[in-house]
Amino acid sequence: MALLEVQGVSRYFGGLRAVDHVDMVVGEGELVGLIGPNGAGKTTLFRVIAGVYPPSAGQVIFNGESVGGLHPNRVCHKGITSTHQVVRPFPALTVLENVLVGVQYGNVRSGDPRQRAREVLEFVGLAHRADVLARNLTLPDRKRLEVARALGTGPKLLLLDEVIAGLNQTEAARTMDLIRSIKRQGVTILMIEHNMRVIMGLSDRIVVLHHGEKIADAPPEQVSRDPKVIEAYLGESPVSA
Amino acid sequence: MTVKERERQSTAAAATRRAGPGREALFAVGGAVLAAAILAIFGLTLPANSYLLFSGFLLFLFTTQSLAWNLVGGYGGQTSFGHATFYGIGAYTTALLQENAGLHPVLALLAGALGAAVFSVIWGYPLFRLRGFYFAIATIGIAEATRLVALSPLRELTGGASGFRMSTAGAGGRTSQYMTALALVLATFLTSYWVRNSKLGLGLFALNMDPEAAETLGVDTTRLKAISLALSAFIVGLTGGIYARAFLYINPNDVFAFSVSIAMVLMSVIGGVGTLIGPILGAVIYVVIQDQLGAAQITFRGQTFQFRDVQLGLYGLLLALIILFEPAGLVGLFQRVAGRFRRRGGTQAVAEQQALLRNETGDE
Ligand SMILES: Nc1ncnc2c1ncn2[C@@H]1O[C@H](COP(=O)(O)OP(=O)(O)OP(=O)(O)O)[C@@H](O)[C@H]1O
Ligand SMILES: [Mg+2]
Repeated sequence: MALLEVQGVSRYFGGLRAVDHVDMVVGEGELVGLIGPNGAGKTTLFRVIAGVYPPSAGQVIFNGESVGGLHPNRVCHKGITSTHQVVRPFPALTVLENVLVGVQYGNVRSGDPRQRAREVLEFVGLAHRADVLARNLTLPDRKRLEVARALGTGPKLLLLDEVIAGLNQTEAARTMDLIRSIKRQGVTILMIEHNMRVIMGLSDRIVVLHHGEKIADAPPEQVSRDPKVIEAYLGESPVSA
Repeated sequence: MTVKERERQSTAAAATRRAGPGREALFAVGGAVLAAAILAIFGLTLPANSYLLFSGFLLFLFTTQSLAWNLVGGYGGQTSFGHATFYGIGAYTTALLQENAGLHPVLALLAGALGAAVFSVIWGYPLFRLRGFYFAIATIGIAEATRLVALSPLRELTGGASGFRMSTAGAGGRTSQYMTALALVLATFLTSYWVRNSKLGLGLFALNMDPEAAETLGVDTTRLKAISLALSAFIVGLTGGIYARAFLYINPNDVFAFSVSIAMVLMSVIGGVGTLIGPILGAVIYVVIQDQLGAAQITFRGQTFQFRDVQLGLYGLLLALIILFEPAGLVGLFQRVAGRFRRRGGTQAVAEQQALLRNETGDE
């Protein structure tokens, strides 16, 4: 059954069609990759789904309910949370407090919040940094914190915007493992990533955006052979991109 | 980044670290005991003469206002330049209910505070959609509008420009005023402490630092701002009522004055906006300056300048300087100085010393 249905969603900025009439479906428990060249509209689509921007046209249906145009906090309470491509921790709060925000205000609020926040930090491998101010974290740890905070809200659908980009190989591998274990916990994931090896290795299915339009939607092997996709990446093979 | 640089960054920060879960109960009990002790000490060693009693009374009222303003202006980062509106509404509601409706003084006081809180919710919701600068300007407009409404259309009720006089019946002596204000400032401090360590406080800090990130984590930012504003308005409303009962005379031009709003901003900013202790330090300094310079004047090239007349300009300048050079006010300054002398104990120890401040865009 479809958990998320994006129906004819567009988002314009002035005359710019950042997202142009996109239809897509994400099934319960699926891990879908969202790729496309720079400026394709991936982050904008995430923000429309998360409620940061209302759609200029179209519908976002989650669990059979229309969520397009709701405030982000309402969308979060329905079970959708997104990380931010440019990490935005609360710099003067500790790592634990950062996670606590999502735990206390998010979708699932049961049990002792501090305990839950600690469990989440344990799960993403940040427990040893719990009492450090977020502004003192290294970039890889900040990216991890983005994921931890989002997980703290107890999402059914997690939107991950380039949480691996910029990491070295070891760190990237760790985060890939983390994403797999999030999926095993039953969380549905929609993720943006430029690295083809990462996205091919993780995704059940890949959606490709180009100039705001969806140009492909298929299993990884098929997408990597799709001429339209290869052309979108300026002729270069996306596998090596 | 070196330890030293980290320390410098930490200077824009609060005085105390936020408590852990186990310590919270301990702090609450400890705080209550401490408050009771302070109450007892101040109460038992009442200032001998009535000038000191009265100065203490004023200091407590100003400190209360400063702490209350900080709940929304500091923790939540919603800079209001219009808190006089709550002061005026509290003062007038209390006075009118007590005088014209014969309500019990305590009930009249609570009604005034409630009136201020309800009024804040009415305009808070629409105005919180505005960001930063525009919000600040809008709050000035609100306060001025209430002043003008009280001055003219509601003249019959408020006494207009000639003010409203109360009978001496419910006044109570200087000592009882002093004790009332002392109890209020302690209650406000405990409230401020509690908010700081509560879920509400965490949400306010988060939305202050990054509203969009807070929203995506489920924080209803508009609701939280409204709650903190209402709480702030309630407390400032109480100070208005207490003022009215102490002076037995109020005037729209005094209680709704822009200078009343500015004073609250100033006290918090001088001491350290968003911190727990800062607003108290700021209030002490502000009250001392007002007391010492209130009647001062200088003559320059044959022209006489009253401090009273130029104070807004001077305070504006002071605000600008603090915001430019030490946004965390005195608390920030103390921390910076303390950082110089502190032994360098590695990142962890430094982090332990650090706490919260508003409006940081991160250090990337
Ligand atoms: N708030 C905004 N206002 C105006 N234009 C915007 C805004 N946000 C995005 N855009 C524009 O919309 C287009 C799509 O941007 P978006 O960030 O969604 O791309 P992206 O696919 O995430 O790119 P990247 O891979 O570089 O992150 C770009 O042309 C961008 O400049
Ligand atoms: Mg992007």
